[in-house]
Amino acid sequence: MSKTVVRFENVSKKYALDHIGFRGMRNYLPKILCRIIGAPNQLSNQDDGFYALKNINFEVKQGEALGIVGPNGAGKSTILKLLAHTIEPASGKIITEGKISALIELGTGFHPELTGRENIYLYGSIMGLKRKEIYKKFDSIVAFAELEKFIDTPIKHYSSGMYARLGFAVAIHVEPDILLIDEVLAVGDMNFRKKCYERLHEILSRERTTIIFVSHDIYRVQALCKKTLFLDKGCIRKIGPTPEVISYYYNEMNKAMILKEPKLQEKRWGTGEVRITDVHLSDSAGKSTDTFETGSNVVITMNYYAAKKINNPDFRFIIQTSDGIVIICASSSNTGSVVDFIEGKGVTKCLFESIPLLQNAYMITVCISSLDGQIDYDTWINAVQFIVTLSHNKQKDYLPANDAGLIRYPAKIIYSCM
Amino acid sequence: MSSSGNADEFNMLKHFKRLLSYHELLINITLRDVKARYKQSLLGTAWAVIHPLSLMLIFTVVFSKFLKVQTYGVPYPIFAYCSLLPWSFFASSLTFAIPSLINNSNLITKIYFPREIFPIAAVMACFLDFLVAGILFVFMMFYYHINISWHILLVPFIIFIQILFTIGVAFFASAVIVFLRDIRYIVPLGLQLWMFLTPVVYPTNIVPARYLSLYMLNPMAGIIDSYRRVILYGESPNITYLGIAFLISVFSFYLAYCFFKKVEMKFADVI
Repeated sequence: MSKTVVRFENVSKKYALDHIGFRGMRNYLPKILCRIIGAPNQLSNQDDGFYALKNINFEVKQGEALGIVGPNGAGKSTILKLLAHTIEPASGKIITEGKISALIELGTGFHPELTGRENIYLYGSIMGLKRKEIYKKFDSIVAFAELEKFIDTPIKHYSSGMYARLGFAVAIHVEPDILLIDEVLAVGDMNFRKKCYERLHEILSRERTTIIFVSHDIYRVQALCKKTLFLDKGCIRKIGPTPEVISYYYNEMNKAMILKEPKLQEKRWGTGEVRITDVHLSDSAGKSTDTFETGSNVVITMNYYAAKKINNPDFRFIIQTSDGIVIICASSSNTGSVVDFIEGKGVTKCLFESIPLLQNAYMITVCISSLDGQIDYDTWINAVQFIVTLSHNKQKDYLPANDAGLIRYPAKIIYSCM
Repeated sequence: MSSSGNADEFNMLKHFKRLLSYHELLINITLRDVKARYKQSLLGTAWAVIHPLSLMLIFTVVFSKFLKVQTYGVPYPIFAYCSLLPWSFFASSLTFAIPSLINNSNLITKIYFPREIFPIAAVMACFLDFLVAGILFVFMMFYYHINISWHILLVPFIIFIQILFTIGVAFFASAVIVFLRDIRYIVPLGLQLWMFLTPVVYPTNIVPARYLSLYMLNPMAGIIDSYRRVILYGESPNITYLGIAFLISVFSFYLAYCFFKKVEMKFADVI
């Protein structure tokens, strides 16, 4: 049984609303005036403050990774600040054990005029490393950041990717007991991001470091954390095994919340000879919905209007992650269902039988073009979104925590004893 | 195991110990401040000398050519430089230390370490400038044939008092400015007034005797007066003046440190 390294006991954090503006007397003058003339003060009638966190209780064991999800303003970052001891709770108790390091907005604490080398020493000591330790790890840090050639260049000449790489490389070498990560890995190129996550997995596999991971990236939370905390308006809505919490999260939050900041904004273009008039989703019974269980049937219906006769049109239905990664592209050409021509109003349906998607939020892009793809009649990026939640009748022995990836593909594991 | 949520009693020793364990960070932030200040400037560290030197030249013209100030046998340039040097150290320390917390707000909200590192590092960075500018002073001593007595050995002690007082003021003001940004506009004006209430450009005995006890409540007055006595005149410092300066410095340092530690945990909420 590993020991508890983080414990929140009835923690509340309150911010006085007027306190936030305690930067000039002008905020106080109206209040003082009101008090002098005895007028009812509208400003002070409101509650004294608002609770960023209310009665938070949870604990994390050594070597565990806890994901924290929730909409903006839920108090996720406040928890990290409390853990980092940069702020104090209004009430309650926070107990942490061991050295804490925070992977904050990368590059905070760097000085642009200093060279990469100087910044490694500076940032390292901010993160709590001793000079000797930095010296020992220096080569490894530089190698991880892939900055051997530029290490004696002032970092103001660095690209933002190099900046981020350097920051992450130092932070990851701190080897703290508790590592706090706040939405920082959304920077850098794909390869470097992959490297970062590999490193985090490696750290976790050693079962010494505890990770608290705040992110909007549900994939990452699922991949990294066995346990997740769903926070909303300063309260814990659910805490437990990640897949259960994430399903609950998806069910609770409407899709607009989850897809609040999709990488692909809704966009349309095309010649307009054919217009897509409507796109909607339904289940196999024909009932309109935008929430599906894993393994259920999904029907996408597209209504269109062709202003003139169009020969051999190609209909395409594309399912993408909120990051814009294309998972499935079904088109009339690749399903062998090309029609000769269309004219006037029409409806095209696309049926995905027992869809292999894992629980997450997705978006759909639809498109009508010529068969050779040369003429784009109408393309509608991110036309609709939908959510996949964990099916209630899951198979026996199914452990959502052991599931990962974009899709689930039928496979057999064959075991034999040698 | 560390926990937060209970306010502890102020324990200076505990805070000192903790600060000491962060000495490498203190050194690194000091170096950052120094390096960052002079990188990309043509003259670099020479600016540390140019600042008090140019003030000295101006005051020499004004106070030895236009207004003749009695300096008791010491040439006015070195008389002024001897006090401008520590005064610039004091003034630039406060100029850099007071906004040091708000200038590092992104670190303060994200990572914990003793926050007093920022104002102390700012003072330390200015101390390095002070040492550089002091080299010129040594040459001036030879040039003007100043006789050196054993009293000069007291200089480190006077510098210590000055640093203690400077850090005390920096603690207090840098913490208050987090809550009241107006301080920022008062600092340059305040320093200017303060300089004229300190015997920087004139000798102490120009001050009317009946105001002297009030005048000496300003620790910088006792400190500057002592520098001049032990270095230029080779006499012992005025024990009363220096004693008052010492007591006020220690006391204000203690109070400011208490105050700083008390509000420290509120910085990240407000900054």
